[in-house]
Amino acid sequence: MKYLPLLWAGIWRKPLRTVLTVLSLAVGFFLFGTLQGVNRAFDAALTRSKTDRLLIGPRFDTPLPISAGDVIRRIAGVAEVTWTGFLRGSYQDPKQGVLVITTDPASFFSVRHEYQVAPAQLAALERTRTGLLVLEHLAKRFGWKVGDRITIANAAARKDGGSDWPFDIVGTFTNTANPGQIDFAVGNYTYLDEGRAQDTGTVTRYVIRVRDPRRSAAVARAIDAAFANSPTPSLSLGENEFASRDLATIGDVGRLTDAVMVAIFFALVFMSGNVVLQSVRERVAEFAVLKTVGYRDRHVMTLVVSEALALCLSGALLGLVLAALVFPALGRSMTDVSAWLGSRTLSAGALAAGIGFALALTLLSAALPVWNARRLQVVTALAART
Amino acid sequence: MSRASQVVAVTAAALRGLPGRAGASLVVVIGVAAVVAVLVCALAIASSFRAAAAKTGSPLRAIVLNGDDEADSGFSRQNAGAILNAPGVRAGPGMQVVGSAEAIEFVSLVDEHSGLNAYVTLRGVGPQLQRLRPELHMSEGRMFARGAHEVIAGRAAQSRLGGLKVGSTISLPNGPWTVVGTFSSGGDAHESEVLADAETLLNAYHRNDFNSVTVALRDPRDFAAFSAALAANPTLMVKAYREPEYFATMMKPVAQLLIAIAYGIGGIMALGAVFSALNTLYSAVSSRAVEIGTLRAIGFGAAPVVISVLAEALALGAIGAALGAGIAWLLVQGTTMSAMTGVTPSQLTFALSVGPAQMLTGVAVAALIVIIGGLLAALRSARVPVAAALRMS
Repeated sequence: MKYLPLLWAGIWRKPLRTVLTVLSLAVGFFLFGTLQGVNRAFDAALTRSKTDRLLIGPRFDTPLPISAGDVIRRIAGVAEVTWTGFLRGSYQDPKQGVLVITTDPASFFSVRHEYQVAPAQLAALERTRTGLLVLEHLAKRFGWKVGDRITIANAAARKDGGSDWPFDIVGTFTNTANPGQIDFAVGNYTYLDEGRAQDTGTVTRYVIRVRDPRRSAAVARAIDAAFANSPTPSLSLGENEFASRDLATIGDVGRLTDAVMVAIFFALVFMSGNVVLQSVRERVAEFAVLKTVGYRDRHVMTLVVSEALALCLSGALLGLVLAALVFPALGRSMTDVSAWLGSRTLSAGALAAGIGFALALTLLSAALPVWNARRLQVVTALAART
Repeated sequence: MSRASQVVAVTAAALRGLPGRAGASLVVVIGVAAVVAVLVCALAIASSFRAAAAKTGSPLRAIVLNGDDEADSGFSRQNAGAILNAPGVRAGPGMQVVGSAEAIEFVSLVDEHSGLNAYVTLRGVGPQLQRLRPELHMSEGRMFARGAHEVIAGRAAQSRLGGLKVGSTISLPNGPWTVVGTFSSGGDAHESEVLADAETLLNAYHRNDFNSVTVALRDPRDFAAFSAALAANPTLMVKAYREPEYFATMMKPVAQLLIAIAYGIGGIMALGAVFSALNTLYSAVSSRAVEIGTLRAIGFGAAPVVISVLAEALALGAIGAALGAGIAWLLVQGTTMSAMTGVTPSQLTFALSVGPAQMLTGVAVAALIVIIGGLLAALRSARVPVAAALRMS
């Protein structure tokens, strides 16, 4: 604690230099944080998808029939099967798109065990044909409450004409593993399938859980083989493959972001290293005095490292906070991409990586100055003072 | 001493002092190099993508659609026939019109690099393909036989995706089809596709409609007449595009995104480099305070001092720019990259190359960084009162 005034004085010895250094670091960390955020969102989209799950969709344009579920269930290694029928429409404003995933609720929430739903509300959905369980974030966005009757407009054509689908909100569910998740609601497949004019008796995709994740590729091959000569060949993919197939279309993003981050790192190491080195060099005499009055090497060392740490951390925090503020706006401007990524916010992991980067930067930039300060001969240092 | 010789003398003194400030000077060099390397790489990606897009399509050809893009468009056999026989279309030997009614499908294959699934465009083409697209050459194997379950793979598609080697098979709705050859077509977007006979493909997918018709024109000037004839035909609701125009329009959003990314990231990094250059140059000026004060005291003007600081900054910037551009060239030149095209869900694989335009932009940004930093530092040096500067010793 008693070193604090000394530390403070050291930092503000050359105010302009300190301000410029922090600004330069902040710019670097802003870019680092943003790119890390993008990279991590991509990675998370891949790993979040559980490897014990396979998504089975049509290989070509013809959707799989609901009867395919029985075939899939009989294939060795398949633990549990659920199916989905997507209903895309809008709420109030045609531009306000809503995705309703209709399914068999019990098996859906069992296969997708990362969603938390109250058992009573799940039971309510099973009881209510027109029931709807809504992701909490979506419910908040539209102000939907349990008991509300809402209409999804401009969706699939109905047998009775029109394309409006009324739903009764029976509850909400959350996904604590991925709070930035893209919004959707869960309804009953029977309601959709009995009401729609087209594609009756077909599913958008099957979602299955395999018994042994290590055998999921073999199970996928077995399922596709079972349907290979049917009128509706299937394409079974690990959930992570589904995500990455969409992500891959953006291009080799990782290569560019990695190169940029390496470039930033080099530039920042040289800059902050030089600033610390310079500031230590200018104060050789001061350090000699400190040593003369009884400061140990490690005290001087702590002082130098703390100064470097203060510089790097304040630059890092400034830059990362800015990145966290700008990231959601970036997502909004590229809705397609953020829908793929399934994330709207800068992940905590990206922030942590930024802080880790700042610590590495501190150590690297303080290493040479510390070594110099340790080698310091008090007599020569004082003699050099003119 | 004349003004000019003052400038020379002070500048020479400043540059001679550079090695003594090596550590600090290196910061400017590395900072500028990082900005230039990233900017040149990113710009090279954007411009190489544009170049590949521009290579796709010849002014001698027109593509006809009735939707926003090929995947969106579809018309009947009769419509396709009417388009092929419209005025302006070139006739080959035997009065066969040179054109191709094409059908596209998307096939899921495994990406060689990531081991994950990716889409490739499978294009069914007409019998006049090689007259329509003379740039298409078989580089391995042979052309597919009409009626057989055979495809040929583009060079870029083959290098990016597994399962497209000559002799391997891909799975289509009516069973396996064999890859019998590899083709190149001058590095255009079609090299990222797989081609097959249109009729055989339509059969396999139980389809009887085409996505697009591409025709060869007798002369680029015949486009207007061709387009007008299609518009005048009440049974057709189609639009004709000159081929290069069509591909340029389709790929424009991606090209713009790549350029925005290049300047966005490059610009932010340049801002950071300005701060850090300013830092170094300020301390360079203050370490030369005594020298500058002495010069001013013996009658040197402020201008030579300002110019000497700028010259030092520019020298550092030039080294940084050369270093950065060199690194970018080593990283990028001769490698390939894939990106979405906006034309189809499949990707365009293109060769990266760094051109003089990107290098010049990099150098210009480097110059901007050091001139801003140098000017501010120089003004500060000129403002320091002589007496104060000398007292500092």
